[in-house]
Amino acid sequence: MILSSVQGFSQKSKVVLSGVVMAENGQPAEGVSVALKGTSYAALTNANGEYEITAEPGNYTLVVNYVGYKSKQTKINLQSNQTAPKITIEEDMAALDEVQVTGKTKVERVREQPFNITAVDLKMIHNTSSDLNQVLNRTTGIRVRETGGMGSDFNFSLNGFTGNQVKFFLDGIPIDNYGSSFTLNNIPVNLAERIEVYKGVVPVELGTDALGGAINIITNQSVKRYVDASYSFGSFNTHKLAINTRFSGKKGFVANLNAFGNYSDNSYKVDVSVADSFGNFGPVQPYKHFHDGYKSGGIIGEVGVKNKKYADYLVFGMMASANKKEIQTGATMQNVVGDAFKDSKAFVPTIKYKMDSLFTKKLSVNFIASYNMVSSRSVDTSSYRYKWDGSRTYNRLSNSGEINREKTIYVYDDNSFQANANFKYDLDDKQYLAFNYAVNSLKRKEEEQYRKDPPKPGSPSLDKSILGLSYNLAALDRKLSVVVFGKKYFLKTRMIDIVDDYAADRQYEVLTNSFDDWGYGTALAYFVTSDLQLKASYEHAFRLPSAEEMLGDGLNVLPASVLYPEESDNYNVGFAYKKVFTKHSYGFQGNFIYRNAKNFIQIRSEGAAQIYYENLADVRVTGVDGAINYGYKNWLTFEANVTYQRTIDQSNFDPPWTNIKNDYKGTQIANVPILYGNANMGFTFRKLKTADDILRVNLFANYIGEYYLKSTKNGDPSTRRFIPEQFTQSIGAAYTFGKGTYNIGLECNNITDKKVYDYFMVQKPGRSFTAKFRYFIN
Amino acid sequence: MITRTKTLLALFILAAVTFSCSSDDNSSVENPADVSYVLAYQTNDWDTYIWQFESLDEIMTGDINMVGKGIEQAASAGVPVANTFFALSGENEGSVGYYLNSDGILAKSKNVFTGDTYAYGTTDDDKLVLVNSPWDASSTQNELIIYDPATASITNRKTDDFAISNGHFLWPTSVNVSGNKLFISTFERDAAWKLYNGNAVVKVYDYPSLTYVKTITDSRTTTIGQYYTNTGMVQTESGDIYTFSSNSRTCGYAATSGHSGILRIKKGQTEFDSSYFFDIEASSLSGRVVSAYPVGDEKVLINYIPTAIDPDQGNWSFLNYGTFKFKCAILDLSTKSITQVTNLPDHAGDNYYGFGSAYTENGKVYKSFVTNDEGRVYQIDINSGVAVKGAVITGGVNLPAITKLKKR
Repeated sequence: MILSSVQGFSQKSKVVLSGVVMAENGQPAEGVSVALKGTSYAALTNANGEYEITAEPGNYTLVVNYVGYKSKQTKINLQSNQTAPKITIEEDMAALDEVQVTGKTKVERVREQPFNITAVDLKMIHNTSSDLNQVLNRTTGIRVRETGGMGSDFNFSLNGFTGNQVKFFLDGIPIDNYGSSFTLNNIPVNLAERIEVYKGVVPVELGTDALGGAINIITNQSVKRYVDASYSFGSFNTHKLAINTRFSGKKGFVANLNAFGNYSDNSYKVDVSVADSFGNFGPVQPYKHFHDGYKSGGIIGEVGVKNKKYADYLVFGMMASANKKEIQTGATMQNVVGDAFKDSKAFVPTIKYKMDSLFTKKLSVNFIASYNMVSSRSVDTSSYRYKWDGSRTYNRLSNSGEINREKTIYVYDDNSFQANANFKYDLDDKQYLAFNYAVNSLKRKEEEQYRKDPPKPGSPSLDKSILGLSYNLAALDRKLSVVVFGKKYFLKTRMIDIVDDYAADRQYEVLTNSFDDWGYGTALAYFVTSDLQLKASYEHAFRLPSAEEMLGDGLNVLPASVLYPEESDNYNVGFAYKKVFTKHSYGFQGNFIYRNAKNFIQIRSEGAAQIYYENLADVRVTGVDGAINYGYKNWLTFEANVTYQRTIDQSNFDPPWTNIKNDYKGTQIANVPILYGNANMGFTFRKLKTADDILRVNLFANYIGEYYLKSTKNGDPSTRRFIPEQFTQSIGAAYTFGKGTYNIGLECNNITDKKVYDYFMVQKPGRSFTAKFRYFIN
Repeated sequence: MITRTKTLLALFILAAVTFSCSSDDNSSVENPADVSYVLAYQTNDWDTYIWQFESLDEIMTGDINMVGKGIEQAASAGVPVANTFFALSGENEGSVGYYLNSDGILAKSKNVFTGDTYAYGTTDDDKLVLVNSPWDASSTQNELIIYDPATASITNRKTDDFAISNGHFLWPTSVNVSGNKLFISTFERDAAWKLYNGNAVVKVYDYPSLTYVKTITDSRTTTIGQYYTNTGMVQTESGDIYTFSSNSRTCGYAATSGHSGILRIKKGQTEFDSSYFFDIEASSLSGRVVSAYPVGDEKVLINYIPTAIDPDQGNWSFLNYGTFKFKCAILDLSTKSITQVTNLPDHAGDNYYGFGSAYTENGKVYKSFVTNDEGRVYQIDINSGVAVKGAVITGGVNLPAITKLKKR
């Protein structure tokens, strides 16, 4: 499926047929299946009704299919690149009027893969100011925990797996080494067409060591030329700008330019009780965040060619991004910070290469590589101690930094090379082999610029490589899909550790470690009927420790030089049912997940403001999630989903190096969400003032159940601290006119101004308003 | 890992337990209905619970757990003083005191922000003394704080520079008040947390004015106490203060040719008693004293590490269950008599230390000890030194404090 994005670029002997499909009302028809009858050449139309089919020259019958519409066939004599006549499809009277759920979209096709996969269609979100985190947070099994507003630290959780256990990709390229300025809360929604969420079992094509799954952000690939520019502003002095363009020239020249900028003061109010100089706490009062500003910006340029003899697609790119984040609090809201900040810069040159027929028609190759240069800095040198009213005192006594117990300007440059090569070999039209080789080699230069620490002997480094091979079969009239795969993981680390912190003379030692092991898995899916698909998948997955986990960030994250790869047996069983009637349509999905993880790497708190990573011997996650969809004609949609999961401590000993029995074996791990859900009701109104305008109104609701902070077992429950149950609602309206060119969006998040928390006593923004203006043309 | 251990210590020092020495030597007959026992229970993650119980039998049989019971604390340990039990926390939620209300149930006083406390002790007039220190070296100012449990408020605070002439500075290990003088035992360190083992050094202040008086030193033994244990000085019932010097690698020091031993500051004096030195290394214990707990009269219970194996232990292994080789003895400090504790397995202390972790009643001392297999309460007969196995601590590892409260 990853390789399917290769389609659309011709082999040297092939030619391109392009065209457009319109509905009777003159509107472009999106998601319409267009195929050359009797061949595997097929495509779906994009938002403009456009399609491209690459095929060998010959005589064909072009077949156009769309649920609720009459099928159309046209004879085509395809000899050279050409444009087919415009096709207008008519509603099928037998299907009665206003059938709202249409044929299979790309997103739906992705969902039909045998993996436990959730595909999130972003088109409906392009007129909102959400970032990708907020979008994903509405998806089953996903919980994004944030410490505040824009740019705040977040912890991404997928079926109980968090942080680095989940891997992120942009069009198949891992972005985890892109630095903090290019993360899910920076990337504008308009850059992406959809997001694919692989749960627990990840195809070899992504070439990764994800323990709990992977998120692949897919950019708009189907449009040849477009401009998508948007600007939004809202509460807390928040501004977002995004410009995405593509230019395709006549001789195969392609150029992409994507740029984004984000700014926010994050000046939202929080409720705090402040202590006086004699330690007495005052009444709870609202205070504004005064040192929580965030700014980030990025530009991605790509230039290359397509449809050449030597390459179907070859582009060179350069990404440059930067951010600066002020820090307002430590781990609790009592720890007020007024000067410390983090910033980072990233430069990432990339190359992408695709070739459909390499040496033989059966072999295709897809190669992507990048060199990531990320420079990050943590600055914590202030002797001032701030209060929530913004006042500050020079603190003679506690002369540590505001967060660190020792003042620091920690600069670290992570330079990493990553490459991912995919080869696909077609055995026949029903089976293929895919081979993947992925490397990621990271070297860190670190420097303490404030304290006079003795120099360290060289740089720490992490080298990862992963080999993957999969066999893919589509059988029984393509009702059955089977994938079987194996992966081999290699990790080499070189760490610099202080021999003995308490020794008279500080000495460093170099710790080298290497690791290799086999992972394997399978995924199958079967259409029992055309409406009901059953899926099952399994992976024995490894996840190699990341640079941040092992090396820290010099401020909030402490280094952990002894950290082992985590491994997990991941099982998924699920079903998807979809039934379309003339007026009503229904969809149901349900999944059961089971994860049995060893050497689970978990975040542990260190004092009030810091964390470190540790292998917790054994964790088991069991979960169920379900979703329902309902649609009425073409103007109402309703979606709801719920996730319930248990994360159970399975360790035998505590502390791990002793023989002391772990009495918490079998109990729910604290500070982990257990039950959460989302609902979304959407209304679509057409032809309000003009023939082509659309008004969409969406109501969102989000629920999360209470969970304990420290222990689910110890203590009188009435004395346990907890993260409270929360139920919030948001509303958004988007008005589109001028054939989709002009878009205006208005939103209100957290309508009732509830106090929202993802972490204990770390209050997130309350009610906010946003307006977004978007211009889209192609 | 070692860096992490160091920061674990930072967390560790955020909390403290003190213990009212006067609560268990009350001569009047008490009505059992008017008293309750309270203990602090700590898990491996430093999660701390305060639990009320009615009889010492409850910590001598079965197991001690906090499943569905106990009061969860923001602090890493509890804080009791003067018939209260105070959760001393450096976190911004502040510290909070507990007392037994007229119904005999633990009730809470108001939260007070106390800051980063590294040493604490009790006074003769039922106050708590805290010493807050800059963990980072960029200041050498320490702050002395007097907290009054009766009013749940800070009554005095004053800063004092702990710098010394060679550019290093002193770090508190214990604080004790006898009459109108306050004593702080210290070690010498530099900005990079390098420790310099040397003479025994105690800073002396007027109490309650907290005015600095002088610094006294003694070369007969080495640095007193160790990092955040508050077991380096003990005031016995006579009002004399005894200081305990380990000269031990296990305790974080490069051992010198000096001997681990005990010095005395007589009641009313502000100098070491030149006529008194109890050489533990040369005694029948052939050991180095790690920590000391008052057990009534002029007696203390000590943890010690045999001198012969001390060099083989990890530096600073007194913390974090770094060694399971500690032994115990009971010393009569005035007569220098030694009673070896028997029937007690070699152990790692309790990882928390704190002089309130040993509770004495009717000639027996109750304290938790951690071995490689379990955390368990032992009852030790003060006269015979014979230890008796008590309850196993499940789900946690040690009891940072045990005390008895009377109804208010």
